[in-house]
Amino acid sequence: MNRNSSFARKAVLIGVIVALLIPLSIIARPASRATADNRVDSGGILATQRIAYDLSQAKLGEVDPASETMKLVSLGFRSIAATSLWLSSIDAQEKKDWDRLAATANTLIKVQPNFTRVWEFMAHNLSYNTSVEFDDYEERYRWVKKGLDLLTEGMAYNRLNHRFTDQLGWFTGHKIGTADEKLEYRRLFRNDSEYHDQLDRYFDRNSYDDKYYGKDNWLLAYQWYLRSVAMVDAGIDGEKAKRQIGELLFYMYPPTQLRLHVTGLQAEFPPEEIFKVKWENAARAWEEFGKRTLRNPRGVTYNLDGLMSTELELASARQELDALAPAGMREKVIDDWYEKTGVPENSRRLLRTPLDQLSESELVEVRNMRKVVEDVTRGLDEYIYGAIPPEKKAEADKQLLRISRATEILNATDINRHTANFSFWKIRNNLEQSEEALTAHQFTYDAEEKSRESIYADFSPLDAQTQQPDRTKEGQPMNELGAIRSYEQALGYWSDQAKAHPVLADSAFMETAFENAGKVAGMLRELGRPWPRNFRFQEMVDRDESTAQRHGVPTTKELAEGSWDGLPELPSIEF
Amino acid sequence: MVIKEFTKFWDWLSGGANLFNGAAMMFLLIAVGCLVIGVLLGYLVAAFRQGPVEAFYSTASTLFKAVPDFLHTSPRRVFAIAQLAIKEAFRRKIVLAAAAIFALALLFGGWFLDTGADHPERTYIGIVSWGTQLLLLMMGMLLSAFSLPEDIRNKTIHTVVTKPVRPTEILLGRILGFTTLLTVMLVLMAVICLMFVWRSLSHTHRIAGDVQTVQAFVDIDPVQRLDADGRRVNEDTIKTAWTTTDHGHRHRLQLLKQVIKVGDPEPTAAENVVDVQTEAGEKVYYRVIIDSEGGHSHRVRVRNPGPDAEIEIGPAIGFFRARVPIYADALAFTDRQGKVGEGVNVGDIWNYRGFIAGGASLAKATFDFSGITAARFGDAERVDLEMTLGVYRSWKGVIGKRILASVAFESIPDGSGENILQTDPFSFESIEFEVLNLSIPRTQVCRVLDESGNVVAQNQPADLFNDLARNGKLRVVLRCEERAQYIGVGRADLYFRAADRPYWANFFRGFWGTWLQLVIIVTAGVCFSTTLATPVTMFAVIIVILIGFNAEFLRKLLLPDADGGGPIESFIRVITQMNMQTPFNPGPMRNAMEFCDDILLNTLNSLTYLVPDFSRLDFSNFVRFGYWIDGDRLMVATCLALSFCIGLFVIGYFNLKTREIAA
Repeated sequence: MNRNSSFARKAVLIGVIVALLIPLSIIARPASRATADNRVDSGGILATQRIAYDLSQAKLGEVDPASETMKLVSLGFRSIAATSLWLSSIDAQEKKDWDRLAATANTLIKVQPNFTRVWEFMAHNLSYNTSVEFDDYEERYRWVKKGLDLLTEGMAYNRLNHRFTDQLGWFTGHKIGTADEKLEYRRLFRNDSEYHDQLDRYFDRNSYDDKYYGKDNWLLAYQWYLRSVAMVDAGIDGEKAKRQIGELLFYMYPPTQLRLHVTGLQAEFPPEEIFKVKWENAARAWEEFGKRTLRNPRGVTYNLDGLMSTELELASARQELDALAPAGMREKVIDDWYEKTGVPENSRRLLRTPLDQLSESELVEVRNMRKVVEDVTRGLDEYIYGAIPPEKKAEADKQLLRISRATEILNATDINRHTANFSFWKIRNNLEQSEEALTAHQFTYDAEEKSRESIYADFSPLDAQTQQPDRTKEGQPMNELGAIRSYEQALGYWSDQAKAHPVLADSAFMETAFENAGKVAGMLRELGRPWPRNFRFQEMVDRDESTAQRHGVPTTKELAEGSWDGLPELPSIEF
Repeated sequence: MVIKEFTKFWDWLSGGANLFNGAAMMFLLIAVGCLVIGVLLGYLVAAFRQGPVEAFYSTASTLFKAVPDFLHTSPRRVFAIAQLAIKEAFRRKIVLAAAAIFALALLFGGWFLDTGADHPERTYIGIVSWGTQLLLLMMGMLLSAFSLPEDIRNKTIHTVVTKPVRPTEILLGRILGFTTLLTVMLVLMAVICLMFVWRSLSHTHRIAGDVQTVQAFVDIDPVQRLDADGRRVNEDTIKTAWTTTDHGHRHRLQLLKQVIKVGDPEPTAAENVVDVQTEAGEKVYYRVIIDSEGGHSHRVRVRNPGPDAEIEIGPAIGFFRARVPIYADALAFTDRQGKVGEGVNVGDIWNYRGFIAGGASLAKATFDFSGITAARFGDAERVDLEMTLGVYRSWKGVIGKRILASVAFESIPDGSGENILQTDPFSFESIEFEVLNLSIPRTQVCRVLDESGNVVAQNQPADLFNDLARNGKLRVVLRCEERAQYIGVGRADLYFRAADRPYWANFFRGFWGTWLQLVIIVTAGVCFSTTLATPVTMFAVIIVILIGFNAEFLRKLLLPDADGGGPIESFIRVITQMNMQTPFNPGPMRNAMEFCDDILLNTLNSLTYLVPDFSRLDFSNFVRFGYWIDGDRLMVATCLALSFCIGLFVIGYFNLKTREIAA
């Protein structure tokens, strides 16, 4: 190769480099703001995409040198490095090398700092999967916190991504508040001053400190969810976060935490007057949520509390449509169907009564029936529309549009009320604020305490001198009988409420009541006592025989057949 | 720490009872096999070039000429070439570049390392070992791959080959030169790494708040109830306090109160114990202890007597250890029915640990030890038995309570007719994934059993070494004491801690494996470069490194029953977007595909054995987990590395010998 050809080759290479640099500089042009006319230039395609997906740690203080170095030194092999780290983390987990797993997770997130799923997966892996591998609850708690720390770290890289605060809310509430070792976790959390110090940069620590029971994980979860809502609604530094989940769930989480906060306290502490105030707060937040205008994925706006007004709007629109058509068309079609299917007269009366004049239980019944009626009369509005004379068509069009909109809103409201279990919680929130509910909880608490005490005290009365159970003497099962009496009182109250509010009767909430009724049955069986006459919960038992059977509670039919004494023992688990 | 191989060097080398199972015999057979194949290949190549008859003579001549080359290799000339190789390495500035990268890595390494993590020493040691290894192996590859081809390309090789220098000397000289240079660098790097790790992890704490004296500790607000804290405390604990948060963590301090009546034995004097008052014939002692956190603790001292005694927290302890373990020769599991098996599998993918069912008297794990003598334990009064256990709960049980386990000791008679000494079970609370230390008193109370297992005497005092292990053999029986719960254990999980050795010595022993890897890479680089061009040599060495480090992973991939099948099947599944489990329709195509895959898998699998498994030369885990690397392990690794080097060297020699450098 002579000198000329070498020079030519170099010149060609330089030319190619320059040619490639031109499109590169166009697509990589950074965003800028012209100071003269304050015009914003969104930059090249890379800059636009970076902003669109929030992939840039734009401010100098937000740039993490470790992550940037990691990305830099892996050159173009970042994906290979990430794959290798993933394999290593799976291997570490299989081999229970937890330190290596945590270290790998920390490295991996530095390689993939903007992949939300990586953070979520790793944090979940540490908090949920790894923590349970440890036998000691203190160690478990430490690993739950490692997941929380990881998510907190992830927020810095993804400041406009509410999934991090959502997950922090979920982990803090759900993992600490509902795990098997929730009592231990909540106690550790309450006194974890090191963690509370860490959180000082995000919250005023009083914001999740219950004045009576100390710091509470559910209240902290509430604060994290509020942060998500603020991120989306108000934004950070003028930039709003994109909402990544449906509006219903997104706005439902915060009020739910307040309710879980008080149920958590009820499970841990004896009932106190302050619980009523807490239920009041939960009810208020739930009502606000019910009044919030939400939008479903099809763009229909609704609010959960607006069911009645939408139903009235639909009824009004139909009334006005019917007024334009020959009289009695709708009634005739519906009456024919009633006749054909044999709908009882009482139900027909209820269906004809204006909704705002019905009682709560009647309303529930009518709403259930209405769905069937709507199904079989689908197309009825269009049929009536067809019978309207042409000069009234313009007005009829308006009414038909009203009907169509109201139906859409009604459907959206109905479905989402079910998803959120809105009515149940609305009723429960209100009920729990009452003195009677508090008393019922007190009865349940007393019953459990007495039941516990009965284990060692009932058949061993206290020695007069030592005040210790004297196991040489047999005593009366006072505690057990007291427990039965207290359970009865509590069950009576919940039975009355279930009768008054059918939503309660059909809910999983009654499962707890059945469990307690089962405990009563178990104790009575143990003592060889008869089933109490006029048991106030009996009506509920008879309504749901399968649940009653599952908990060993006798129905009236079984009692009448005399099979109570012959009921089989509850199966015990043999280890 | 997980250990799967417990090889004794001489057993490994000689094969114990069967000579053909020994590494020496294996090496000999492979060497002879390779020699035969090599000669045949050489002959075929020569025959292709020169014709069959001429080829026979040239092959025989090359072989015969090799003998004096090997026998008359001059150390003086080897050293001279080694010196040249070192000079050449310096001239290429690779050493300088490596030093700069190393300095940069240490300077910014702290960014990637978290001192607040659990066992940060493991991460630190793992990273510095890996970093040093990677850097030096790359350096070894570059030095060795560039050396000969560059000399040949620049024709500077003629200044050497025109002198009376044998090919063996050229190769050995270069290997020795590069190895010497890299060894010096390795030693320097190891020293700097040790200082880096030590300096990064050294720390102490202060006590948070005003709790600087024992009295202040006693006076902590009683509202801070212990049980409200939610953490476990010692049964004598009356107050708890915290240290400041340094290095990303803090420790809890516990104040223990012990009231001793006159005449009762007083607590052992220690630097963390202080007696503060004597009232009505009772003496009150306070002891300050500090909880372990992230794998380490701190020394706590109480200075001055009386209530105003100051509490002082010392440097971290527990990071840098080199425990000398005595592992059992055998581990056997017995199930609930008394049948010997492998331990219960509780559903783990990884079956390193077998599990023992709890609450069943027959279910147990028995560890048989030998060589248990008082001398190995420094004639100590107490013996450290350490274990790392797995726990599996089949039901929740009491969440706040750890699972109970027990150990008992038994003598192992040499022959029939001897009685067996057996101690009562020693119960303890299990701790999972951490080393649990049981300090066993040397004097035990035993029952004596005859050959049939009948008790012939009770409550007999026995010395652990002189009676129970009078023949050096001892059996440790591990049981789970809770019904329906399980304790998991592997062979290396339970051991006697005979002594502790200096940490720095173990740290350097850990780098012995890296040195062996370096020698292999340099030898491979030099020998490959006798026939391959620089880029190809580098590529080949990189392949060796990749296969060497991922041998286990690759062999797992190459299993015939792996999901997705062999290379052809996998390719078809990828392009047809077919999942890994769906079977192919039977037929000739499938048979052909499976046949080809079998051939490919077997060939690839065999190829992985041509490269040394570098994980067997990696001792960093011993250093990470704080265990002394025993001599047997080092010897086995050294022999393995040497055998590969010898093989590579012989190949390199014949390559160089048959190469026409002048061309």
